[in-house]
Amino acid sequence: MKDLRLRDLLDLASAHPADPKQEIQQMYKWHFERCVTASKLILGAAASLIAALLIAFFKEEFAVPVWQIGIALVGAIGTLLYGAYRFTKTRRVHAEYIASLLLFEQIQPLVSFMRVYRAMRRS
Amino acid sequence: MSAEIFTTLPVVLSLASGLASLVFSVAARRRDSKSRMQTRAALEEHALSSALESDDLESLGSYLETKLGSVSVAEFATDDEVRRQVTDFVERVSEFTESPDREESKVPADISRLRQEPSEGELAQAERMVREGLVWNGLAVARRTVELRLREIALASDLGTEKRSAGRLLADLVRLELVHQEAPSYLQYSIDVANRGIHGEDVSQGEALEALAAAARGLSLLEENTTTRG
Repeated sequence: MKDLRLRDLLDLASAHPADPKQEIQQMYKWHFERCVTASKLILGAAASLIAALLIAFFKEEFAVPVWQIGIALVGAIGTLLYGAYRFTKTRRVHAEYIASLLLFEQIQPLVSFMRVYRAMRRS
Repeated sequence: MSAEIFTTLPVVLSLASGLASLVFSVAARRRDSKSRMQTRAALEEHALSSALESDDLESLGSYLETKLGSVSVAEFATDDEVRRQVTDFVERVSEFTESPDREESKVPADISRLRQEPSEGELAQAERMVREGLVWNGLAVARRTVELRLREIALASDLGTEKRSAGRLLADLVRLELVHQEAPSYLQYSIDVANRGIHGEDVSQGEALEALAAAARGLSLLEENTTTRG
């Protein structure tokens, strides 16, 4: 989850949730589901486009030159590869989840200080 | 016409999706690169040192929130060097804002009288800060002043240069009987109050001024001790 930063964990710690580990787990669950869904959509769309292009090509139904079909096929394959790349990145989610837990524990001593700092900023 | 649309539409969509994939990939790479640059800037030693040495709540808080706070968890997870540095930096800031984990020392009996005495040098600056409402800053300056003096005594006595907290330094010097016998009670009280304030606990202006008065008395007793031994 590239958007999750140390300051977000400080914010979470400052909120004093009843079960912070549960909160972090839930965040990563949403993130994982979002990533997988996005990958599936991209892969599905790419597969549909490739299938449509190949069917039309073999049925000789295209009204455009062959070279344009070639470029379109490259575009569709590029989309497929992009979808596959995004899917493989989901394997890192578990490492990021564990890192979040570790970092969350490490920043606990800073929570009181941040409370004073933020109170000062507000005043 | 409609048959043409069904054959040209996949071509157009394929081109569009290929282009979109390329744009998203490039944008993601640029975002990653920008994030890595932000992380490198945040983990520069001088950035942390300046924040810690500033004795300024705003500077240290701003460093934590905007610089160190900008480090992404993803980089922490995948880059060993980032992980090592972030762990080290967080530890150092935690030590600086350490929570007092010992029994609180007693308020010196003559503290009311001591508060009437004018302070000098860094402690006068600390007192000004506290009176202006910058209690955290004033306590940070006071603690650093005490710590520096104790470190000077430790160095002069060949006690080694390892980094120790002000409280630990004082305990080591007391154990080795290197400080005036009355100084520790004043200094320990001032260190305890300073630690509480820096950690983020509530310390009133009155308490902070008492801590500064105790620090001034403790330091002047250390000077007497040094003069006597000399």
